[in-house]
Amino acid sequence: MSSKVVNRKRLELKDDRKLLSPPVVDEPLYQCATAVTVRGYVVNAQIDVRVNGVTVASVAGGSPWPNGVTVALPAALVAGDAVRARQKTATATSGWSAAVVARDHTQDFPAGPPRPNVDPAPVYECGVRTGVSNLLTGGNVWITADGVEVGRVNGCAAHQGVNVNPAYGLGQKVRAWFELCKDPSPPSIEHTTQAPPTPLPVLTFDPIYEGGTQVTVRNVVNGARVTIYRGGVNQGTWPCWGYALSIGGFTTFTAAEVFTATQAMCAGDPESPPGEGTVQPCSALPAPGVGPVEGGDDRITLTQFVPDATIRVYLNGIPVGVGSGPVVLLTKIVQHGDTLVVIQDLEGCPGQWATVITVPCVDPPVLGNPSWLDLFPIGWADYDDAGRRGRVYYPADDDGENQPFNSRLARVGRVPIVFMAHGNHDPGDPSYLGYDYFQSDLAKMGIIAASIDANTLNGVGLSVQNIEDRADMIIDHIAHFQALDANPGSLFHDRIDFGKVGLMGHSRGGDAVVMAPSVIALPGVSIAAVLALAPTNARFQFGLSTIAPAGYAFMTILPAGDGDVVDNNGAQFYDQATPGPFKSQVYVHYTNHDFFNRQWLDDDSLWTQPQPAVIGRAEHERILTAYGCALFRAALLGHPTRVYMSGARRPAAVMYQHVHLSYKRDGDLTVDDHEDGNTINTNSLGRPTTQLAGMSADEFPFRQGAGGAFNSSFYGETIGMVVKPGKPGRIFRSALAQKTNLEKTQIWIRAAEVTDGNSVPAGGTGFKLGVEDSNGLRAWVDSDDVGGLARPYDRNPGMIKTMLETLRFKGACFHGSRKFTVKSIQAILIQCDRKDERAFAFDDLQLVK
Amino acid sequence: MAIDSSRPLPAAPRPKWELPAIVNIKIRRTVVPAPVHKHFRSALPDRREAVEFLVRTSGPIPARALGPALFVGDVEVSESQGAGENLYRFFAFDLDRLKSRAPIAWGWMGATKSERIRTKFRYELARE
Repeated sequence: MSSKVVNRKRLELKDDRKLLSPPVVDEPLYQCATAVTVRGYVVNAQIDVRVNGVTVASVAGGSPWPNGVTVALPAALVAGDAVRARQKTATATSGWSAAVVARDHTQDFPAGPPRPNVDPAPVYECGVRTGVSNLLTGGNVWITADGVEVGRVNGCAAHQGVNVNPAYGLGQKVRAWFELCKDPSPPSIEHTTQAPPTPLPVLTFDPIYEGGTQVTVRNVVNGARVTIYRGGVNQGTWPCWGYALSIGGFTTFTAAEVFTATQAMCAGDPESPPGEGTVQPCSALPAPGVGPVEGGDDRITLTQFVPDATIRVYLNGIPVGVGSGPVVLLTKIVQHGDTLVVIQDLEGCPGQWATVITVPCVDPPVLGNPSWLDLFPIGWADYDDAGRRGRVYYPADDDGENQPFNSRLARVGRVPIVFMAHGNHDPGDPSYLGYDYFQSDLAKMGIIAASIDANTLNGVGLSVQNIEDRADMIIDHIAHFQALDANPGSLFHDRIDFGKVGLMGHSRGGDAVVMAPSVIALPGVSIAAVLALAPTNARFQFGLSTIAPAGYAFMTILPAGDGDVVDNNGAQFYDQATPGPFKSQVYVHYTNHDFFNRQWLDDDSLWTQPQPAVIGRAEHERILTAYGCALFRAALLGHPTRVYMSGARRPAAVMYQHVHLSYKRDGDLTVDDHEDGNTINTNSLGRPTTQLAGMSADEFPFRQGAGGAFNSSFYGETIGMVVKPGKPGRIFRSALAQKTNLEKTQIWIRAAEVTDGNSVPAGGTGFKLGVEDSNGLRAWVDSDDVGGLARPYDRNPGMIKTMLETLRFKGACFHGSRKFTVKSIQAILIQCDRKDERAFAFDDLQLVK
Repeated sequence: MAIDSSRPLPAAPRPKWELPAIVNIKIRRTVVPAPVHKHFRSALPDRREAVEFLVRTSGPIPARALGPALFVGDVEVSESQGAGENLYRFFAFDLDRLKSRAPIAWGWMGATKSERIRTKFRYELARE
């Protein structure tokens, strides 16, 4: 997304004083909720809430950030109730928001509501307020200390502060509890109160501006009492759940005013030294930061804004939204190529700087994280039976070792299981313990996760036999759990759904989990998903055919900086895999081989220098759990998490800017995958291709050591197209089988900048994808407008790779002349228009609905 | 409050993947049977004619995903098994490509010529 900051005066914007965006009603909503939360309104707006067309509540919104307003309802919701909200000011009334329909929570959570989280943790002695998250809006939350209730909120928000009385003592066992419709969730993790930090840290103020009415202080100790002074005058003392506190409702600030704040915990312990913030003049009010926006969006998300500011949004000069951060709903859908202007104003202080955005075709939202689903306490157990050793994590009644299996979940039905297999490493290290974080994430969402101790197979050279030995061991562990499931005395008796088995393997383990489904013959076992993390491919190394993953959802994660499996052999498995129902490749820059396993301490990227420094270990883990949970939730639980693998959505708290995805689904129309043996002149539809304006393209094996390869920088195992270097303007045309309406269709194509393997030239490159309608009229979208073409990863010369990724082009983005129509497309085009005249690799051109 | 400035901490260590020295190599013809697995039949042939290199090293071979390899002339011999402490068996199956008296070097699988470590040994099949 290209954006710039422009002086507002240059934009000649006209305002509509009657325009007010509908606010946002938090969803989901469930029956029995006695409150709803509304956000996105302008400060101090009146908020009206309507249920089934009848206004049931009207409240003062106050400050919209950070938590909106939670509005108590006169009667609990019933499934099917439609809830809307609107905002009113002295001069304008918004329309009603889109309806949020209340559902029965047991449809989404058949084993009961999710367990609450104490957030932020830890809990301190003398704390007077605790935050609890992972709640269902409108339910009831309470906190106990040593089993005694000390605070409660009925009709809660999704993240609720609970005042605690009496304050916590030292060494108390604290838990949060939740219920909705008298259906209790499991309790939170038990926290033991500890002594608060001494000295208490100094509070800091977020920037404050003239015209504002709200201050935010940070560095707050969990449960502290915060006192705020304005010009030395005590404004009051507020309890805070920790981290940060935002207080609104002040009279308008004037420039140069000074605010100070202190925090206190136990009486008798010193307060913090004062932190200070000074009100800046109106001229300092910056332009707001705007998150990803793409064609088809009906809202904008702000990443940086002043909490009490009114956000105004203009689309091609017309006002289309007035609200507050972080989300402002628009009265029109934005289209590719539109100009969006976003400004923030305070009372008596119109912002002088605007953020101006040219809307790209594709710039996916950052929304949620597949690893965050948190439903159940986590139990774990070691097992050791006839040489089969490992550690298993599972959803339990409470946290800890050998806890009973979650009884409520067991009554709902059997649960999926994932087996994890580490690779070759020092046999003295407990490698199987290195994925505990991933196992925990799976267990808390209802998937059993067993990590196999394969150290008896470690310390030897790579061979097909070693991989077969590992696959045999994995199958043996599956058989062991089948026996546990059949054993009335076992923790896992009648608990496991062997029709939904997942496998995760790292390194040689990754090779083995691809082999295992091709040889497994255990009755009743169906492998539904396989994740090969930085796998070897021993069969390929030793002259045998690569196993083609088939019949299950497949993912490979490939560290671009891998200093061990330097050939990123997982790309071969991806290329050979048949989507069943999908396949995914996650190629991650600035990552190495070892950091995904907590027991593997070396940075292997240092073995193959020079290489860029890799990201931290925690970032590696977040990438594995985010994409791994996306895979297993989709394949084993039927959750809608494929969007993360296709790239339609990006996971929060993950360095997605380094992640380059390839993705393919079964059932989509393939225009050309170059696997047909019918030369470059015919595509996979049997239709002709044409090379125009100096285009020179041909099909080549994308494979190491292949005769006839374009060069040695290709590490997959497929046939693709290389467009050779040439003058700008060269075009490749691929005819479709029939005239096709692409209005609601996407065009996906795998693409890469071809490298010589030894260096990466300065400056990125790209191309244009085009469509030609039945009248021969053409329209184009640049690759920069769909996220851009990734640069080859600049690692040690000789190992720089041409690694393709899937780019998605929305059909609605193609605009040509007035007579052009996207509803009748007869050909897809690639135009290489850059002056750098580089070569490109393409594969898997598809039409995707 | 005073403000600190400091230097970056050292990064994670580089792996210690330097190979030990080869102390001795015994070479002989052998037959390698297919491994026997508990749950499936191996994809490898029931028997493979091979040349076995029994290699004694000065220390253990570091454990990593890739394996060590002998380079007999330009022929990479990388299938290997442990045979005891500091003792490893390597198997070459392309017997026709092994040239008598070819120098034996060693390194990790896929090592380029400049990365390979020369040894004092040459390929010479013991008379049977």
